[in-house]
Amino acid sequence: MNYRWLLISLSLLVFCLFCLSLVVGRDPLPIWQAANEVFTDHRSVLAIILTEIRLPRALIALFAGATLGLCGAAMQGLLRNPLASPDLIGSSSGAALCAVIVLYFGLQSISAQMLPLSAMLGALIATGLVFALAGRDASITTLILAGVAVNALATSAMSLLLNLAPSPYAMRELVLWTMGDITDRSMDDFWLMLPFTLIGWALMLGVGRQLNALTLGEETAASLGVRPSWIRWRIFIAIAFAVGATVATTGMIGFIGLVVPHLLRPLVNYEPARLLPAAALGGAAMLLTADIGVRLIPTESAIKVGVLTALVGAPFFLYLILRSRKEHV
Amino acid sequence: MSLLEAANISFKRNQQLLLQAINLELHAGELIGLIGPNGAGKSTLLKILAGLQTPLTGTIKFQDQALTKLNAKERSQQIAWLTQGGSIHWPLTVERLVALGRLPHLAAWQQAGITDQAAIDQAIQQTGIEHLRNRDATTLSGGERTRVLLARALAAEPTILLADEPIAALDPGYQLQTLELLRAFSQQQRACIVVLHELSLAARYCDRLYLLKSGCIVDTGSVAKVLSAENLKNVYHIECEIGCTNVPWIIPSRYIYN
Repeated sequence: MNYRWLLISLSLLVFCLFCLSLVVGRDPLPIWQAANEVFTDHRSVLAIILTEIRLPRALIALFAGATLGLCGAAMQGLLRNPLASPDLIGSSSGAALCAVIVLYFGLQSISAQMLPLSAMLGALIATGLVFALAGRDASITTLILAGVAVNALATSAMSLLLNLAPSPYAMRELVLWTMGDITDRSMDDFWLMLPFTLIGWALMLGVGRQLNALTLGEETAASLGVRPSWIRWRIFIAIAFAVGATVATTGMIGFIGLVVPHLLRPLVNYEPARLLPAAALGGAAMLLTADIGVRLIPTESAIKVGVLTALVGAPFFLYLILRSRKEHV
Repeated sequence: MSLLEAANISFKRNQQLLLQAINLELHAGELIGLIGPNGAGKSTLLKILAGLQTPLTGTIKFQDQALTKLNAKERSQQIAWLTQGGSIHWPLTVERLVALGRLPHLAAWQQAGITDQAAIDQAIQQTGIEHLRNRDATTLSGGERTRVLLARALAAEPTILLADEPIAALDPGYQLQTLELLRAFSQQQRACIVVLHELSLAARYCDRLYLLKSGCIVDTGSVAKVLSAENLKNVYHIECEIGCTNVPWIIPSRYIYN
């Protein structure tokens, strides 16, 4: 497919899903009437539902999904490895751990920025740790093992905090938070997440060509004027910003960063640079879809969106492993 | 004019001295051969000359200017480096892969233009890979991949090409064709250093040779001087039939066990 048409159709899809996300809910929202009332009567119930419940939820799904898709594509390009993604190699759980620490000790009362800042720090530490553990030219196995180890470390630390939680109510809050959820978020949450997310995206601008050059290996890329260590740090920090801010807002939403680049890669002829914008749009589309999905699935208490993406994503991961095993035989 | 000049280069990895006191000079219009047994340090030397590794001691000058004065982009416009073997990580098409060679000439947001496409087309045509243009580059045979990666290096239109065993995986026909191509490349203001194990071809195509053993230059100079029976015996532990009918030939006849 033509690359431009791919981006246009993905953008249209995201736009439609975004609008749908504003409409769909336990009670369908008459969107035109609601939009009208936003401009005429701020206090009307419909206007409040639209601007204070549906809109932040759709915006957060849009930006968080795009971040996860983009970061997955960037990391896969950097590591030249289709099985890498920020949640598999520990960035997300590192971010979640630091966010849980902040929540546990109530540090967010000091400043609202504490949560995203600590999550970013956590993402950076965890990602850096995995790379330090795995070494420079890490094989896929080493990298995933290092990721598993760091994930386990972060998860056990989180479990400890849950274990020590002062009340069942506090524990329930923390557990639900870690599941990955975008209900009951306000525009304030969105505004808090936005600048850090945008900084992360901005750092990714222009790395595409360098990722293309890395197709030939780090040394040949260096002979083409790319500085591999510089590009590595730039992507690390970009991921720390964007994923950190996202996790601080939504908790851990897994597998989007793994699945989306994978599905889109053949459509961009496997070119890492072209995959970046496509994966960002695809990630947004997928998270918006999943978030609409959890509203439509009739269950006693609402399914968390992170649970749904994991339910769909984990079997897909297994399928990838099976397929890569077949290729090696 | 000397295009590239390395003086007193030494290099150490894991406490082991891999190169010692290497002096090398490359003039415009030259095709120079780097020969020597496996593990002599040929590839390491080539990487240092390409600016990919920093030597322990010594200096490298590009057109009478320290190589370290050039930034990564300027350096990559002037010097192309072709690795031994070479891996391709994503199944890009051959044409897109060759196009990666244009990266040094593109500004941050600049799209590839007519001159870039012309360079890509010429490199594809020179290396005889037109029929592979739209093939998935990861499914190529070893020889085909070698030619595609050579095309990638040529597409950069460098002043200096440093090629590490570019003909190792090729059949005799493509070996000749590739060396003819490197010969033609090394005209006017350009030059090439090539690592070779095919001594007869080195004798036929190279202007000068550097013979390496255990990180030291054992001999350098004209082909006839370097490829002497004594040198080959000393470096490779072989006895050779050396002669020249229409073309020079060197046939190893016996390995000398200590």
